Amino acid sequence: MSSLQQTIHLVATDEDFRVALLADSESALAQQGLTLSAEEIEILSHLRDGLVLPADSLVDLYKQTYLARPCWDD
Amino acid sequence: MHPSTPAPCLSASSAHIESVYAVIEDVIRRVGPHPAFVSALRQRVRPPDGPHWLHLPLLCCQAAGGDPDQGVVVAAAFELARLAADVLDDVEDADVGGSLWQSMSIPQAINVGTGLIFASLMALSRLREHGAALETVAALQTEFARTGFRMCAGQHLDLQGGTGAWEQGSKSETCAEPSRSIRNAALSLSKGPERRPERRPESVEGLAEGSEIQRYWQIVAAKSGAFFELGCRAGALLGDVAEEDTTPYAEYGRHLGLLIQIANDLAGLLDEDGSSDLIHRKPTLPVIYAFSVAPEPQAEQLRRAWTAGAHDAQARREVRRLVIELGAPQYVFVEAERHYRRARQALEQTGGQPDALDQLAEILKLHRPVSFLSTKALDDMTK
Repeated sequence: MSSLQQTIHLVATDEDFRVALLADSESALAQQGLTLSAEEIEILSHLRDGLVLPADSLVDLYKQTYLARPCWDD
Repeated sequence: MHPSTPAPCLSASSAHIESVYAVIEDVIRRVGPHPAFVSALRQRVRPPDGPHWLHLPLLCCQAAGGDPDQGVVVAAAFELARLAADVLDDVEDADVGGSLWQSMSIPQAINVGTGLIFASLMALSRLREHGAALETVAALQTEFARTGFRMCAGQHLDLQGGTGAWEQGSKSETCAEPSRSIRNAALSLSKGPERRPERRPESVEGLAEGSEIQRYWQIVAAKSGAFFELGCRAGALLGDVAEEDTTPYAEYGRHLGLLIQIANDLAGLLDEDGSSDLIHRKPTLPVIYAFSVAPEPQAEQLRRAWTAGAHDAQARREVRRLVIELGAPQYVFVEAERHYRRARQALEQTGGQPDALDQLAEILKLHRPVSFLSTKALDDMTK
């Protein structure tokens, strides 16, 4: 299991980690001994507010936006 | 591509589609009077209801300053290659729902698919009539052949099966045949099931145990990644650029292909009506992730539901619930964003014609599943 997978698993299942990640992602990751690449940290930081949403809301948003997106040339 | 592809709606203009299909028709017509075969080809040779990927070579040709007429010919060759891959893939995966092998026999469908590969090569030879240099034609033929070979290698790995370690009660060193009974049921609809060789479970050589994720990336890079890479590099090869300068176009295509594939994997998981990935127990990215992170007792629940999922809708709902609960959508979003960014960077490195690059960037954006997850997008939503 990669550090990224562990991180996402914690985001999805550990409320304390979610709170810590939102407050200070660098320290939250360090406390868990997780080492991510610079690219992964940047992506997590960009998507952080969305990734911490409850799974059902996240899936609903995905269905409402991505799966129902308009055509390219509409 | 997964049948539950969330209608990406990449619509080339009808003029482009007509031009490309006119070349395809001409290629087929010139072969000679073989009405039965041509009629069989025509069952499949038509613009798709879904995305028109033939736009990729056209736009990359334009971006690299190539001749638009040559772009149309390469787009025709690319479209024929796509059709060939679709026909053969449907046979190999025993896909149902409008597959060609259902309307004729499996051997005939294989023959049509093979014919489409040669038609694609014939289309490329038409480039000379449009003034393309001999070296360009040779480079394109090599590129098409190399990519086709790579895609076959990826498909071979895919067809070997895997995920035996996930089967309830199985030993991790064996790779079980996924959903054999479903495949056999599908094959019984065809006219020649008895001729289909039984696929034997095989181990995946060269991959360490527990490397299902590496195996996944190998397969999707060799299939979706390589195919989109070809479309973009082939278009750019017609331009006023050195062969090595087509690499950023190819990189764009590769990451676009990976982005689309993993987004489709998530769509396949969430598709409660279709559920074909779960019925076929296809090791898609969200499921591989979930098996990788699941602690006991969730892992045991997942194994049990996964095993029963081929025949039991309730079990498939359980797989879906567990996979989502473990964070698979978030993982897919992060991986998708990684490929979105890399494709975007590659596009910036092309130095191509701005209008065409803008359109290629739009295509990329359309397939970026996570735009709604950024802080700004979430703020906008709650306003």
